[in-house]
Amino acid sequence: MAVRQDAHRAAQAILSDTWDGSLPVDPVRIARSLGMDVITAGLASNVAGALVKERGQDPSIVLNAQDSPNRQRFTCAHEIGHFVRREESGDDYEYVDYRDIFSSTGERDDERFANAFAACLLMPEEDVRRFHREGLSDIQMALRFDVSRDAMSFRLANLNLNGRR
Amino acid sequence: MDDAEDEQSGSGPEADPNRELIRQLVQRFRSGEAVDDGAELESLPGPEQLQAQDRQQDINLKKKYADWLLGAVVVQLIVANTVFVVYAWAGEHWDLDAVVIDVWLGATLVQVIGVVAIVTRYLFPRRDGAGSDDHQAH
Repeated sequence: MAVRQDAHRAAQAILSDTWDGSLPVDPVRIARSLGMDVITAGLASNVAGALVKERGQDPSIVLNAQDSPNRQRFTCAHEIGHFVRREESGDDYEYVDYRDIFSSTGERDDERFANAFAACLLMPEEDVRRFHREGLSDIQMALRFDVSRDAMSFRLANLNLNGRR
Repeated sequence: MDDAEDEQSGSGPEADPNRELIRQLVQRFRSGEAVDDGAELESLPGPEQLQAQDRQQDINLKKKYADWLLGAVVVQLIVANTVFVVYAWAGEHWDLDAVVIDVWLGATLVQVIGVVAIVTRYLFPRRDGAGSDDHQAH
């Protein structure tokens, strides 16, 4: 629970510092405003993306060119989550991170943080609650946030709002 | 390097090969080398931008089809008329039976009209749906 709250706070801070409140949120523009390079490249099919931070260089997010824009959007937000968590630790590190089956199960704290961060970044709580009050279905919300229906459903469930209608 | 650092840098004996590949890929990208499907992103397109891109691709594809089909019609007309003249000149000294001329010109006309009809009907359908199979079915 603490991990999710930390992710929520971190995402809120990033959004208020770097985003104008319009929808859908573009994580690539946010990443670039944080000083990161974002590139797409052909990666192994089980790799959605990676965060590369080597000593003395700007961090880079690598997205799988074969993925849909929706998937790339979530992966990019996920990698920003890793970056934020690493930066908060204040370490100078050389680290290659990637998201695969292991991360999608959310077994590690880092991955749980990054997944929660991505959800909070792409689907800001305030907007989700507003749309919910307006009676939008999860599909309508998913279209506005430009995320998958599953991601939207998880987000609604985590906010204790009604899921699929 | 302790175990934690070893795990993070991915340089240990059981390091995931994906990590090293990705690190090399980033280095190649930074040095300006060609990378498969490599591109630097400024932003990710939203739904409206994707729709606009989709429409533009549709227009470009239609233009390509129309150009090629109309070119084919022009070539067909040139070939048909050339063959007709050569045949008439060399074989019959313009003394052809009227049926031959009628059939030849009729076939060419039908072919041209057919191609133009296909192009206009299927590549540039009317916005009100008239002329489509669905419309006719109702």
